[in-house]
Amino acid sequence: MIPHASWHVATVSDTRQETPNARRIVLEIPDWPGNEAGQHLDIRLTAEDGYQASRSYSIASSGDARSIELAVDRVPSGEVSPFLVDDLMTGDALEVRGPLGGWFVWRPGQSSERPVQLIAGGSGVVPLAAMVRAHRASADATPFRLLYAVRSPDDVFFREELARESDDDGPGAVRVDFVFSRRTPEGFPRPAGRLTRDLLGELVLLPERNPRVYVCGATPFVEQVLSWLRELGHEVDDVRAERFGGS
Amino acid sequence: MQKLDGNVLAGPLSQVMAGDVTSARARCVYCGDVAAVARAVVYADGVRFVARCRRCDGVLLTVVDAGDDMRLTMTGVTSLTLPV
Amino acid sequence: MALITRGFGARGHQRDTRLPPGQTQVEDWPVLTAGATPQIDPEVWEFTVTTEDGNVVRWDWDSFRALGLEDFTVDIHCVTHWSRLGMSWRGVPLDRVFEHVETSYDYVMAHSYGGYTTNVPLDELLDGQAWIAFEADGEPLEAEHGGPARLVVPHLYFWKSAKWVSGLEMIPQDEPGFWEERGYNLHGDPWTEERYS
Repeated sequence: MIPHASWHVATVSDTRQETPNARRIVLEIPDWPGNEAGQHLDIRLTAEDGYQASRSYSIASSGDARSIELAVDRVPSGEVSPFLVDDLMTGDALEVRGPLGGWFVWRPGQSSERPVQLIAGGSGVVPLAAMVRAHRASADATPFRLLYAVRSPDDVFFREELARESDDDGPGAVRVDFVFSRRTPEGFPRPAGRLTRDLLGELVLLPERNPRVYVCGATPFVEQVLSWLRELGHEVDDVRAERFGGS
Repeated sequence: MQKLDGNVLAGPLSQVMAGDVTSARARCVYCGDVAAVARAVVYADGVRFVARCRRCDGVLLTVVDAGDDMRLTMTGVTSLTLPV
Repeated sequence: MALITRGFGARGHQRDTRLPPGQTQVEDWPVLTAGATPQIDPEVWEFTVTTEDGNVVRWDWDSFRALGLEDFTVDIHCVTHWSRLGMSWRGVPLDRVFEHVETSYDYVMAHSYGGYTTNVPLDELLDGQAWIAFEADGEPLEAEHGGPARLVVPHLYFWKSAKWVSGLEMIPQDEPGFWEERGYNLHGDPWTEERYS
């Protein structure tokens, strides 16, 4: 039973630079009912003259905590993200509505006959990271894979956590595969280049494994990946996708 | 202006539906397609949302944030099935 | 009353007296759309006016533009609270178009490629109040902004300035178009803040 969404006042308790263009923001919300992995919230900003702007952001954390984490990418011409990444300060209050979204969610304890394939494009990794964290926190045995397409090593979100997953050989560990479109780390087995259908086919679970697939990223990335998944034989009606805008 | 999907309707429609609307399955009046609201093509600018059928592009519903109220027009949906 | 967000400024900081109530001035041009952007080739573009006797007056790209293009500079006001002041355009005044139309109907439904509609009283399209615009800011109108041609009715909220306009239909009474059926005002005067129905 998903808690009902409502408006809350959140206080920024911590911020830190995640990448040159993105920031991790921790919000304290005393009356937050908790959220599931994959859910999002809406942030509404109000200027002194009454002008309002509101956008949706995925929550990187899940569970009952009153303290939740966001990771926001700055879109240069955006209305809300530049404010959140550049201007927001610890101690500021923000209006947020949530938790939102019951469809693009991963819950522990579902059938582990279906392994999980997560596919992230850039900042689309945020809700998928929440799923990875929830998977670890619940010691769920479902095999998990994350394909993370990103421009360069500098643009990777949750770098340390994902490195820990990669270093872990245990059965519940997430296998993380990176695709770097512009620049790779030293010694990376593949040259830099955009994701292609063939590379996608190599790096994701085969349709025969009947994976639960989650795709998140900018709309063009998601549309392209879904189209390729269909060509690779996946049942695309069963794939859960969440498209980000730029702003 | 963003071209997104029905996941973004969760907030605006949270006042209209007690449960989560993105998981609700909607039948398109134009082509009969039945799909989760999360899968609709949604054009959004933060105060207006236009949700279109992914299969036939017909307008399923619009949401207008009118400040004091929220206007939901669902002329493209013949039925909505919500999990309980 | 919503919480004011410290440090969040409305886009643009000027408070110009040419701004209607509730509007904020911007220097850019936000794209707002209700669907995919139609791609219309001027080779096949047509503009029609349909009157009560079923008569259809039809122009192609060249013959329509031959009605006479003029430059005009106007302020535009979007219902989502942004305004652009002193924007330059080039287009055919609807006064030129209606020299070729006989009608006793007083209202117009504007139709667009892609299916969008919006209603305007005829007397608010004449006397220098409206154009079919082909250029904005000195350049041919981009598709995402309504090109190759859009209606421009600057004295009403900008949702009335139908993008990708394909023609006008004379109607006997005022009827709601796309947004007017979905919560927006039938008329849409920014100066009296006629935003919603």
